[in-house]
Amino acid sequence: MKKILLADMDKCNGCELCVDACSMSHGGFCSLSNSRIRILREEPTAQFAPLMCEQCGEHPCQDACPVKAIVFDPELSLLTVDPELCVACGDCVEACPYQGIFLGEETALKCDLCGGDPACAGLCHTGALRVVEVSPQTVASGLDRKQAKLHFIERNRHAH
Amino acid sequence: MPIDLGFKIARIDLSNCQVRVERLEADTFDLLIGGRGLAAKLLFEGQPAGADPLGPDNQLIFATGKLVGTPVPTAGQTTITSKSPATGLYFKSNTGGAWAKALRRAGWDAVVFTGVSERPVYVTIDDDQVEIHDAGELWGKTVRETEAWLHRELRGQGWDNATIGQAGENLVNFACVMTNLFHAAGRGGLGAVMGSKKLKAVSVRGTGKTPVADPTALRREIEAVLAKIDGTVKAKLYVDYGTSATVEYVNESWSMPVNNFQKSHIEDGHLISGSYLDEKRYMRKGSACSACPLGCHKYSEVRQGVFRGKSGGPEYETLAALGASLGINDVEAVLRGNELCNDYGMDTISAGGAVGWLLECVERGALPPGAAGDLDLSWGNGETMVELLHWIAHRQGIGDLLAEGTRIAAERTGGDSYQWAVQANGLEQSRVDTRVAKAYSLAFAVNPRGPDHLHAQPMAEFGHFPEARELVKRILGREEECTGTTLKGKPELVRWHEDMFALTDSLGICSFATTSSYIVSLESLALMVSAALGVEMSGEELLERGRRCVVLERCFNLREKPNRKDELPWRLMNEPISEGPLAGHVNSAQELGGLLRQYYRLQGYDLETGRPTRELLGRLELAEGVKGLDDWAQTLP
Ligand code: SF4
Ligand code: SF4
Ligand code: SF4
Repeated sequence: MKKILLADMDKCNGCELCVDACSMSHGGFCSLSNSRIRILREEPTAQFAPLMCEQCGEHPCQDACPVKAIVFDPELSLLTVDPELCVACGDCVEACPYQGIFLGEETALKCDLCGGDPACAGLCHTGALRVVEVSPQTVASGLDRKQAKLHFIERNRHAH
Repeated sequence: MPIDLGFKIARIDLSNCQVRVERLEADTFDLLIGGRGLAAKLLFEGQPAGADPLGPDNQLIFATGKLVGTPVPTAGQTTITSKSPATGLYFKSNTGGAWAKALRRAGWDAVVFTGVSERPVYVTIDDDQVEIHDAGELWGKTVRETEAWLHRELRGQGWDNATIGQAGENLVNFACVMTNLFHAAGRGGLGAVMGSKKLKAVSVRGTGKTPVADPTALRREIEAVLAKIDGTVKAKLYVDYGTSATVEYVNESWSMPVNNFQKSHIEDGHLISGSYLDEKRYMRKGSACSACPLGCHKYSEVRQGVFRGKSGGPEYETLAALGASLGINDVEAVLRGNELCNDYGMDTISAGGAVGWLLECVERGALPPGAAGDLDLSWGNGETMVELLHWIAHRQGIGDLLAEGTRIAAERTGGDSYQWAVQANGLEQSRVDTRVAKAYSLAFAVNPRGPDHLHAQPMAEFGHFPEARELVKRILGREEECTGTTLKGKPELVRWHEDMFALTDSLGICSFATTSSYIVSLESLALMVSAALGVEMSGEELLERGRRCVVLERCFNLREKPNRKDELPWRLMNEPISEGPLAGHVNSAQELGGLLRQYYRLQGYDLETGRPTRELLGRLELAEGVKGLDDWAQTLP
């Protein structure tokens, strides 16, 4: 069954436990430079948006990649970055409308669902992050959230 | 990756714009852990006795603990330490937000400011680059305006700022330092120390790595801590309402300080309670500090009317200090007051204490009814409170006197007005009625800051929650002492809470996790220290390091002021509670004296004077670990 990581902006309180959990599980240290999830912060309104791969159907990241480093992992049923192929050009980062893929020290970084045991959702106590199985319902509810997130990203675009 | 247990410290002299990098070896970690303990050592070693709190010799130290930067729950605290202009003594004040984590990621454990700049400046710490910039444009701006300006100037995400508002610039004795807009290092006037140095903001960006010794073990223990939250009453209250959850309870048990501690209950107190704020949708979800699963820090909004606005908070202390203590149960006025204090960078407890003192002076004729122009100086007027907050921040009219804090204000006013200054050692008391909370009374008296709740929070003495009763049983070996008014066992409770609090602050985590919601036990802390830092210390060994910090802070104060007394505000020592089921209780000199002697005996202090002995300083290894301590200790018994 295909799984997907869902983020609920309304519940997120900006603690960034997910960010540290993600980097810790992908290299044994905590750092933004190694995390596949980040928090976009809007402090004056206490609003926060988890940014990570939304596993969108269009996957412009894959189309943008000049060396075809973003490949389908049939086991996890999602796109992952092949670190051997990735040349860290950043074209995928530009292409993703959700700001869900990042440039790490040597390669692009994209959520891989931790191989099936997501560290971030495990430490997210607000319930803002959940891993769910893909169904028509989860896809529908995910659409609204994605829209809200795109607005939020747009509003904070000047901050980058 | 090996964990570096040494400390990297930036020393920034604002008089001559010099930046120096200093390293301390891991033996300092072994002695005092870091954070608050590290800062206590730097303060003792780094400035002469008698330094002017608002002069160039006073150090303003920002420090964080070694757990900050890891996902250990609540590891996001900054400790700011200095000599306070309000008390003239040692002072540490903690703040949350994300500033501490940025500093750790930038590779620093502490930043020490000395000197006084000629012109307003702000400092940026961009990983290992430290720079001092002109802040002429920023001077005179509120905290919110300052944050917005920095956000534009530094281009956005990734910077975390510590700032002061006008209260700090105008040297209000209870000005605070604000981090990430709404988080306050509230007490003791450290914002005025920052203002005296003409330092408007410290902005940090850190892109480095925080290594973890055993990620798998750490993740396991963190998940165990998180799993406890939903089943722990107090933790759930913090998640749902923040500290405002306490208002209704305190009021209904007739221990709410109303009208400057004259009364113990306010009519319709639920109108300023957490559940009311939630129900009427004034309060929205939280804005958590780094790594905090509780997110007790809320965010509130008044949508219409004269008090329209939004801000971080409110906390219990604010609802009590700007509300009940002034006889005000108009929550919109309190929220407006809260916002002003956040924006001017001003402590709500002391600000409320100062306004309460003024109202009582007028009530009792020590000051004329026209002391504040046309303002109506009777209890319960929200508009007056809001107006006076503006006056204090700008030192306008009577606000200039109130900005000194109640000790000085009463000295200048004379007569009996000292009786209504609910302060001791220069600090306004937290909104806790210590007359019916005997562990609190002892904890407040021995607190090196003065009478407040943030050096030991022995909430467990009330035994409200199963976790609290368990803790009492663990410390005392029995649990019958679970009421506020009994005396037995209280010194032992206070001692444990002081040690735990100091340890908590020294590791950079939040006391709400350890001494008030109890989601992180001592054992769990030892496990996480081992998994995160690779340090094997038992819970007891960790606690002992907390105790060293407590003793060292006391030494600093005695060096400054050999005759400093462990005391409580006059009113609480001399006027029994006047109404309600708890009427008649008081903190008498005899009662407090008894508690103090028992506490001194436990600590190994001199029983008469409460001074640490040379023998104790040797046994705790402080004499050799802290420069200058042994020389000073020659004066001790
Ligand atoms: S752990 Fe959850 S609440 Fe915290 S920042 Fe991440 S998504 Fe938001
Ligand atoms: S990284 Fe962005 S573009 Fe690529 S699949 Fe995920 S959401 Fe779509
Ligand atoms: S599921 Fe794993 S890889 Fe994806 S964001 Fe969460 S922690 Fe990172």
